[in-house]
Amino acid sequence: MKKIILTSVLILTAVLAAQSQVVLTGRITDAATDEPLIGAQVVVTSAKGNGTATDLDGNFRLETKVSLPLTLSVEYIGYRTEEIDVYDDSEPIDIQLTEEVNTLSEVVIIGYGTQKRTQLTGSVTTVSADILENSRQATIDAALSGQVSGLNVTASSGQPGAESHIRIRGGNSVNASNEPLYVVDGFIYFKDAATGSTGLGAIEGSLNPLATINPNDIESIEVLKDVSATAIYGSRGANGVILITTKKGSLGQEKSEINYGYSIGVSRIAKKLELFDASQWAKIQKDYFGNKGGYTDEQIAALGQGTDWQDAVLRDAVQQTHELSITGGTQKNRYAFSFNYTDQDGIILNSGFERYNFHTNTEWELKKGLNFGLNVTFGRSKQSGLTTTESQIFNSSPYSAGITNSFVYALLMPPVVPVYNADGSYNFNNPYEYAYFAIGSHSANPVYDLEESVADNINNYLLSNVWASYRLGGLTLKASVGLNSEKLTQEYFSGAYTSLGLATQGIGGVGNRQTDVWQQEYTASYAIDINDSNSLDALVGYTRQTQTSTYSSIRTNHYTNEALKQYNLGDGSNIYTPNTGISESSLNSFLARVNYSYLDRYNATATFRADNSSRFAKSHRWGYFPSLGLSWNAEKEHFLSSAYDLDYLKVRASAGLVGNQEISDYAFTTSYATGSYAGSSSYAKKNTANDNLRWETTASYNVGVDLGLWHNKVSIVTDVYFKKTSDLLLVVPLGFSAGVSTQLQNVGNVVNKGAELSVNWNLISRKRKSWSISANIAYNDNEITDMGVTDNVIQGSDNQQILRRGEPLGSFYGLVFKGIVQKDEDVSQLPTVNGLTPKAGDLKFEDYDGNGRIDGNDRQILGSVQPKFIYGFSTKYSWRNLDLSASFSGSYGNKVYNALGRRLELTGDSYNVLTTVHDSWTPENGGNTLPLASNPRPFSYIDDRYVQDASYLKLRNVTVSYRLPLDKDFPTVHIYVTGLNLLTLTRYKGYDPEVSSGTDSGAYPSARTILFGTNISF
Amino acid sequence: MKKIVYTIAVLLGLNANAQEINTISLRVPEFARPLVEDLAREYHESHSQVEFQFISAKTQDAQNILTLTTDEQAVNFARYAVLPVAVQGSEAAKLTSSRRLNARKLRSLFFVNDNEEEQTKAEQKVHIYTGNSQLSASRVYASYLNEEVTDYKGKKISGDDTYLTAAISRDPLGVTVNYLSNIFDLESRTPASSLTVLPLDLDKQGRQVLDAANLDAIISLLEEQTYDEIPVGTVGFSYDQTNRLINDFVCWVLTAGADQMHRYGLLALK
Repeated sequence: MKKIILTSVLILTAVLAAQSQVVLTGRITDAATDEPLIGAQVVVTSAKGNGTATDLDGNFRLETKVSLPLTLSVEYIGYRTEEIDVYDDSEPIDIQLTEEVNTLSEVVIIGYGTQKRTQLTGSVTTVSADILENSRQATIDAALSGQVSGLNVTASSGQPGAESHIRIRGGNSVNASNEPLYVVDGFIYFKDAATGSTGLGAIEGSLNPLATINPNDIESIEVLKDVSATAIYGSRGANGVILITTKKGSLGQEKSEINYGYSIGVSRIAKKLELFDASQWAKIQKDYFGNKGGYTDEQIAALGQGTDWQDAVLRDAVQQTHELSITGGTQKNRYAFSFNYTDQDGIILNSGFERYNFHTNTEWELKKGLNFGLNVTFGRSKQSGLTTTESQIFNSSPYSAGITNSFVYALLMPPVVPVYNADGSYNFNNPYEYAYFAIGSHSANPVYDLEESVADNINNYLLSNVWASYRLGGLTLKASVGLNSEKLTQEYFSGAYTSLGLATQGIGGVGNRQTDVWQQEYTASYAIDINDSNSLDALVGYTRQTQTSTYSSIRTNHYTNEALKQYNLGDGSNIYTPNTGISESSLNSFLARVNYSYLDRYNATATFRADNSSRFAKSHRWGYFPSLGLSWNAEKEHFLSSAYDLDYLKVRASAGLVGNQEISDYAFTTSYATGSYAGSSSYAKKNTANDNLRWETTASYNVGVDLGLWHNKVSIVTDVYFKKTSDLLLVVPLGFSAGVSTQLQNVGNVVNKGAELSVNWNLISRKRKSWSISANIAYNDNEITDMGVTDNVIQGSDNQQILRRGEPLGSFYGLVFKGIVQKDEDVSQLPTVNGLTPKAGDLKFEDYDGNGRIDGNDRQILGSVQPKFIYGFSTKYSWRNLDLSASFSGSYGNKVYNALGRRLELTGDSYNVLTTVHDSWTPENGGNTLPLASNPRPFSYIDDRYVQDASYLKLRNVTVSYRLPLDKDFPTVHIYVTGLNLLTLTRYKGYDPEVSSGTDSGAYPSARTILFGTNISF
Repeated sequence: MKKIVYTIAVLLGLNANAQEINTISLRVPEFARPLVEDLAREYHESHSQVEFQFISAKTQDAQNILTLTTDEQAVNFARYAVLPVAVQGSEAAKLTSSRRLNARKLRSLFFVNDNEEEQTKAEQKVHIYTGNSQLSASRVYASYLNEEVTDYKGKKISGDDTYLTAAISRDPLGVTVNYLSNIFDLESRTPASSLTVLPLDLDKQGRQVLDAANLDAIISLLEEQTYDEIPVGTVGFSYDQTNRLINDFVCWVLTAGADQMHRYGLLALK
C-alpha cells in the first residue's frame, strides 16, 4: 500500500511539474527572404541560460519554468535582435528578423587581416558583391567605374576583354606603372606590362589581366587609398591597393546553395562618326583633287550613299554568359565552387572575347584552432582583336599617317569603292589607294582584312593559394604558399590580300609567354583585450615573391598556302629571327603592424615594411616604408552625447611612405639585345647600367572624416590628401657616348593633392521597399614639381605631349588655333608660316613668343589627360519583387588628343573624311574652322582644335530585375534586363571620350548593350 | 490489476475514436470565438450527433479540423473591421487626440518612418503594441496600409490579440490595433476595458459614428462605407471540403448563422 501511495505521489509530482513547464515552439526566418535562420539564439530574458537555438529549418522548441507572460529574445549575427512578449503558448511563435545595417559592427578586410571599421585609421572603401553583380560586367575594372571616390577607371578601348587603366588618386609616376596593386584572397596579383605580350607585336591591345577574375565570384572589394592602409604593401603600395575577397560558403550552412545564371544580349556601336557619302566625296574630288574618277555632276548626284564602310565593318554583336555556383558548409568546413562561361562577340567583325573560368574556395577545420584552406582559380580566356599597322612600313608608315588598324582604314575608304564585286567576291580594286596598301592592281579591303586576319590573345591561367592557420588564444600563426601561372599565346596572321600582308605575300606569327609567380607568406598575429579600455593587435610577417617569365615567338612571311594560317607558319619562305628570352625577379619582405585602441574611441595603427627588390641596383635594393595612422571616434565623447542625429563621427589622419618598383627587371644593369646581321648573330646594347637606380618613393598624408547620421541612414566619407612622389623613375636622354639613347634614372618629383567626398543615403529600408542612393566626387591636382635637368620632354607619335615642370603628367602641347584667314583680312599683320605670309583660306595660330613667325616655340600647354573631377552616382530601388538600379559615372576637365578626328579631316585624293569638312573655308562662304579644302593639312604641329574636352557623363548601367512570385518550394527565380553604356553626354567629337592613353588613334569603339538574363537559386 | 487497466484503456480509446468521428475540431481566434461557440451550440442542438471541440494552433493530431481564417480564398461567412485604440484617458490617448489621423499619419504613427525628424510628438512618444500571430489584426492592418509587419514600431506580443488590450492597459503610452469584437463589449456595445478608438480623419458621418463609439452604429457604417483608414476584410472557414461533416456545418452557418454576425462584432458579407 505504501508503494502505491509513493508511486501515486511521484506521478502526481511529475504531472504537476510537467504542467508548470511552458513549452514554446516556433520558427525564425529572414524578414526579407523568408529563409530559415539556422542557429538563431532564442532566450527567455528573465531566466539566464534558459534558451535554445533554431534547427536546420529555423524551428525551435524551448521549455521553461518561467510562467507566462514572458519575454523572448531572438538573436542572430548580422540581424537586429527582436524581443517579443509571449502571453500564451497555444500557437507557434513565428518571428522574422531584419538584417542589421550597422557600420559599427562591420569588419573590413585590410592587408594581411581584418579590422573593425570603427578602429580603422586608413581610408578604405568597400565595394560589395551586390554592386558587382548589378554591374553585369565581364571584368571587375568595368564594374568599379564610378563606385569609389578617387578611383578613376578608363577603358583602353571598347574591345571585349580589353584592359582598363585604373588610377587611385591620380598618377604618381612617368615610366613606372601607375596601376594599383591587386591582392586576390591574399595573393599579390600584379601584372607587369611586359607579361601581357609575347614580343610578337602586330596585335592591337592586350588581354585584360583582370579577365582571369570573374566578378560574380567576388564577395567584396576593398580599395585601400591612403598610406595607413597601403603601407603594409610597402614598395607596391604607392598606387593604391585593391583587395579582392572571393565568395566562401558558411560554416554550419549545411544545405548547399546552388545558383545558376544565364544572360544573353546584343551590342551595337554607341556612336557612329559622320563621314562623307559617295556623292559628297566625289564632289570634293571633282572640286579640289583632280576628279580621278572622272565624274560628271549628274553621275555624282546618282552615286548617292555609295558604300558605308563604317557600317560594313561593324555588326550587332551577340554575347552570352553561363554562371554556376555552389556554396555550402558543415560545422567544420565550408566550400564555394563556381564556373563561368562568357562568349562575347565584338561589334567589329571577327572580334570578341571568350572565357572559361573555374573557381573554388574551401576551408577545413582539421583540429580545434587548426584550419586549412585552398583557393584555386583556373581557366582560359581568348580575345580576338585587330591587327595593328604599328610595325608595318611599306612605302611609308601607315601608322604614323594615322591608319592604325583595319577599322580605321575602313573609315578612310572612299565610299565610291564597293566592298564586294558584282559576283559577290571581295573587291580588291581601289583606284584611289596608292600610298600605303596597294601593290599593282591589288589593294587592301578592310572588310576582308577583318574577316580573314587573326589577332588572338589566349591566356591559360592558374591562380592557387593554399594556407594553414593555427589559433591558440589570441595568437594566430598563418602560412601560405601560392602560385600564379599563366601561359599567354599570341597568334596573328594576315594573308597576302590583307593590308598587313600585301607587301610580304602574307605574314603570320605565334608567340608564347610562360609566367610563374610564386608567393610564400608567413605571419604571426596576436590580439588581446588588455582590459575593458585597451585592446591591441599586432602582426609580424615575412613574404617572398619570385617571378619567372620566359617567352618565345616566331614570324614568317611569303606563303604559298594560307589555308591553315598561323598553324602552318613553316609554309613561309622568309623566317624572321626568332625572339626568345627569360626574365626573373624576386621581392623579399618583412612586415609589421600594430593596432591599438583605447575605449574603442582612440585608435592608432603603426605599420612598417622592409622590401628587398631584385629590380634595383645592388646597393639600393632595400627599401623601408613606415606609416602611422590615428583615428578618433568622436561620437563616443560625452560632449556629443546629446547630438541625437549623429551616430558616427570619426576623424582620421595618416602619414607615411610607400614605394613603386614596377619597372622592367634589368633596368639597373647593362644589357644587350640579340639579333641577326648579315646571316650571323649580332648583339646591340639595349641598356646601360645605373648603379644608383632605386625606389620611387611616395610620401603621403591624409586627413579624413567619416560621418553617420540619422541611424546611419546617411553616411558621409570625406578625405583630403597630399602625395609627393620623389626619385621619380624617369627615362632620361643620354649622350652618344653611353651607347644607348636613354636610361632609367631617379629624377624629379610629382605631387598629387586632392579631396574626395562620398555620400550613401538609405532613403527607405524596409522589407519590401528600399531605396538607396550613393554618390561620390573626387578632385585631384597633379603636378610635376621637379624634373632635374630633363625638363620639357616631348612625347607621342605626333609630339603631342610634354613632361614639364609645373604641369601635370600627360599634358598636351601644341599651337593655339586662331581661325582661318578671311578674304579681306590684313595679312601683313599675321605671323608667317614656313616663311610665307598666310593667304585667305589658310590656318592662323597664336604667335606665342611674338617673334612674327609660327614655329615649334609657339606651342603651349593645351590641357592634360588628368581630370579635375571624377564622379559617380548610383541608385537602387526595390519594391516587393521588383528591383531597379542605375549607375552613372563621369569626369570633368580632362582632354583627349583626337588624332583620328585630325586624320579624318585631312583632305586628299585617297581617303574619306568627316562631314565637318563641309565647313572648310571657301571664298564664297567663308568659314572659320577648317582651311580651304585643297590646302595641305594637318599642320606640322598639333593644335587645340584636336585636343578636345573629354569631360563626360555616362549612364553605365540600368537594370530592371523581377523575382518571380513562386511558391517557397520552388527555386528563387529572377529575370532581368540590363542596359549597359546607354547614354554618354560629352562634347568630345570622337567615338568615346574614355581613352586611357589620352590619344585617340582610332581605338576600338565602345558599344551599347542590352542584356536579358535569369538567375535561379536552389 | 493489469487486466483492469487494460480494459479501461481500451474503452477510453474506443470512446475517443467514436467521439472523434463526429467531432469537429475548431481552431478559432478569440475575436470570433464567441460567435463560433454560439454557432456550434446551436448546431449541436439541432444536430446532436455532432460534437465540437476547440483546439489550439499547435494541435496537429485532431480530426475534422475547421480553421477560422481571414484569407479571402476561404469559405467566407462574415467580415471583420480593425481600428486603432488606446486606453481612454491615457497619455497615449491624449497625445493622439489633437488631430485626426488619415492613412498617411497612421503609417507614420505605427510604422518605422524614414524621416524621423518629421515625426510628431505623438509619433515619437507612443508605444506601439502589435500581435505576432498569423490571424492578428496587426497583420491585416499592415497589409491594408501597404506596410510590412516587420516595419511596425514598438513591441510584439505573441498570443491572441486579446492580450494586446492587456498590454496597453499596463502602459499609459500604449497604442494598438484590434478587431471590433476585441475592442467592444458585446453586451454593452461600448468599448471594453475603457478603450478608446483613436480619432480618424473620416467624413462627417464617419467621425460622428466613431466619436459615439457604439458598436452597432460602427458596423452599420462600415457595411455601407469604405475608408482608407479602416481595414475591412473577410472571415471564413478553411477546411477539407470533401469532409461532409464539416461541409454540413459550414452550409448551416452560411444560411442560419448569417444573422448573428452583428451581435458578435462582425460585419455581414456584402
